[in-house]
Amino acid sequence: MSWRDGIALAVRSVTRRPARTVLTILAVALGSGLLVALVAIAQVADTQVIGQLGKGGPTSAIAVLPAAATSAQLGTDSAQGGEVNPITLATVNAIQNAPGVSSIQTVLSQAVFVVPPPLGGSIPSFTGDDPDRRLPRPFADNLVGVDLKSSGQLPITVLAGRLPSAGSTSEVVVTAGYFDHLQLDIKHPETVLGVVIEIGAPQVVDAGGGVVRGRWTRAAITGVVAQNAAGGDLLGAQELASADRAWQLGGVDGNSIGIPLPSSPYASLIVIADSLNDVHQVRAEITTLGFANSAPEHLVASTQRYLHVVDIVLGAIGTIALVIAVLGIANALLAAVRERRREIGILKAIGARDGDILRWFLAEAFVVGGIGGILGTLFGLAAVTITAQVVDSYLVEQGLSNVSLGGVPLLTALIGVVGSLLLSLLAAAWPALRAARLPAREAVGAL
Amino acid sequence: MIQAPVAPEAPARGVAVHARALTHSYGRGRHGVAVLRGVDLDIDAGSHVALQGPSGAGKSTLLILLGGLEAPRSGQLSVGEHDLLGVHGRALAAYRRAVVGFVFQHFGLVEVLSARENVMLAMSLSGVPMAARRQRADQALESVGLSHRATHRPSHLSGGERQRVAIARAIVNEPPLLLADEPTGNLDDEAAVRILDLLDVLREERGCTLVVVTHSALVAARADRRLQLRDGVVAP
Ligand SMILES: Nc1ncnc2c1ncn2[C@@H]1O[C@H](COP(=O)(O)OP(=O)(O)O)[C@@H](O)[C@H]1O
Ligand SMILES: [Mg+2]
Repeated sequence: MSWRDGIALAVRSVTRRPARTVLTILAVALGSGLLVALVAIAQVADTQVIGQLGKGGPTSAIAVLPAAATSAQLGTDSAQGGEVNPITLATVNAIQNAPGVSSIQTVLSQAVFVVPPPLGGSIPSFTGDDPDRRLPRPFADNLVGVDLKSSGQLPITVLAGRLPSAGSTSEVVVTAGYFDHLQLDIKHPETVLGVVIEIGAPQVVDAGGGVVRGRWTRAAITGVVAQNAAGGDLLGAQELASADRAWQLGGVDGNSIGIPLPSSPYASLIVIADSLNDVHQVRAEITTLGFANSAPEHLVASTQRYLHVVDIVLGAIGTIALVIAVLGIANALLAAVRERRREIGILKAIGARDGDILRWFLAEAFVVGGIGGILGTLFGLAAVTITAQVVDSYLVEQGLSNVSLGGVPLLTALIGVVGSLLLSLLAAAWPALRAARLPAREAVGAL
Repeated sequence: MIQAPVAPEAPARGVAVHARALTHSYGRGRHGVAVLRGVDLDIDAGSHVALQGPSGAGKSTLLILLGGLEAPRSGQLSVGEHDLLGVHGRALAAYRRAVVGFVFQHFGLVEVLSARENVMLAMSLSGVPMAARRQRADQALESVGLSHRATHRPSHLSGGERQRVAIARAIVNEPPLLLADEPTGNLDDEAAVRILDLLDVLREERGCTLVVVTHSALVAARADRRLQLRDGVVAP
């Protein structure tokens, strides 16, 4: 009897006791469903938690700062820098050529004056003009300029609204610091969306005389973000920041009046390593080049260790549930062997080998375990999807980014089916062997 | 394609059976029951033999040995060119598939399979190619007059019809030895006569050796020879 014949016979045999079969399948479905759900949830949680460590960008990102690396640099995740060490195009090219580097994002940071509405003729309203301080104050801060086409590579999380269009010089986003400056409530990001502000880049004409000229731009606020690309409460297209920067470089150094010329061509670099495993090597390379840098490599490693323990515990709970379920298969098969003693004898009498009988009962476990496993996997994935949706709406309510289920690999989904099948066959081994060893004379029903 | 062991158009010659000092017992030691205590037996190829005797005499046990369901404990037993002493496991199963067709008192059909599928099951055990099974099963059902019941399950058939399905299953692999243990024991007289007629016709068509265990004088009367089994030996 081939496996095909064995399975055909098994499919018929399981219909003999429909209630028992349905209950057994249900138990396996529950067990495998629980296993799939737990493993998938663990999987999603892992990617989610590790993803959070990248603060909106890839976890394999390394921030390079315009400071000389100290000897302590390689031992820690945070940047350990001394005196200024400008990041130039040559630096970018040197890092680009290092092994394990996937891509580099340059980040500008430009000192600016920020004037919130009401906009108008005489700016700014310094202390005294508005003793009640009811009007929003203009303030000095930094405009961070990035390549918005590659925003996915950067440590930027959109909390509300959207990022400016790539290359736009009339749109910016703001961070929580902007709300602090204006004493606004970050819980109501909609109060700033669409608001047009004025941004002024300084150009010191005469430091001694305190003569400063501004290059004024109007920009609409399109969103609220959290960002770790460089220090600054405004973030916009690199085109905007570099035009402002060129303007300031057209003047003289105003260090004495608090407006020094920028010391480094780039405020930082975001270096993306090929993978998490390459991060350490790339950081070593950058440190050798002499630049302070930071990446959550140790944090990721230790978090992964903890998550791994959680994965094992969840997987074990699911596996135990599945094992209990497949014991039901063993139980049902033992009952079936008892009921079919004569039938087994008859099959042997008409020529079945022990192996044929074994195959018949294993095929029955295969059918029950397979159906249970498939149902359970579907049920488990559905449970995860629903859970993710509930968690999602909660996270969005809390102003956090949402969960992506894209992280559940096919392998996780297969665990339920393959695990059910393997455990079912294992559970069926003993009843099937018992059946196979029954003597052929049972057929005659002697006694 | 692999051909059936024996082509239907060339009827199988029956096999001769020879037993000398054949013994068999169930259990061992103090609890052992010696059932056959030295059976001497010669059955001609193609003959029809009835095996009679009181209940518990060991008739079914002798049939079990002839049918290769168990290996005898001692003595000699040959069926055709097969020497059955010391044959076990897969070799004995191969003997059952190649040589024996078994018919039981209680029919012994698989309840969840249709009549046709029950017949096809015997062929799937013998490794007959899938494509050939259905046609041969239908031929076998036709030869027992049950073509119109091919898709019915045993529970939807009368006792006589069930036994005819069982006979179709027993002959589908063209065995040279047909064994029947009280084939009419569960049937009324009319159905019993049909079964006996059928066994007669099939034996004549195929030339196989037929051994029937029976209580019934009516059944025994149809045989070429009647053997009495008493106290574990064949009475002279
Ligand atoms: N599996 C068995 N274990 C122990 N004793 C058995 C077994 N099968 C049959 N017997 C005994 O063997 C004897 C002969 O049985 P059997 O061959 O079925 O007789 P018959 O078919 O002539 O009625 C009986 O006494 C029966 O109790
Ligand atoms: Mg008997």
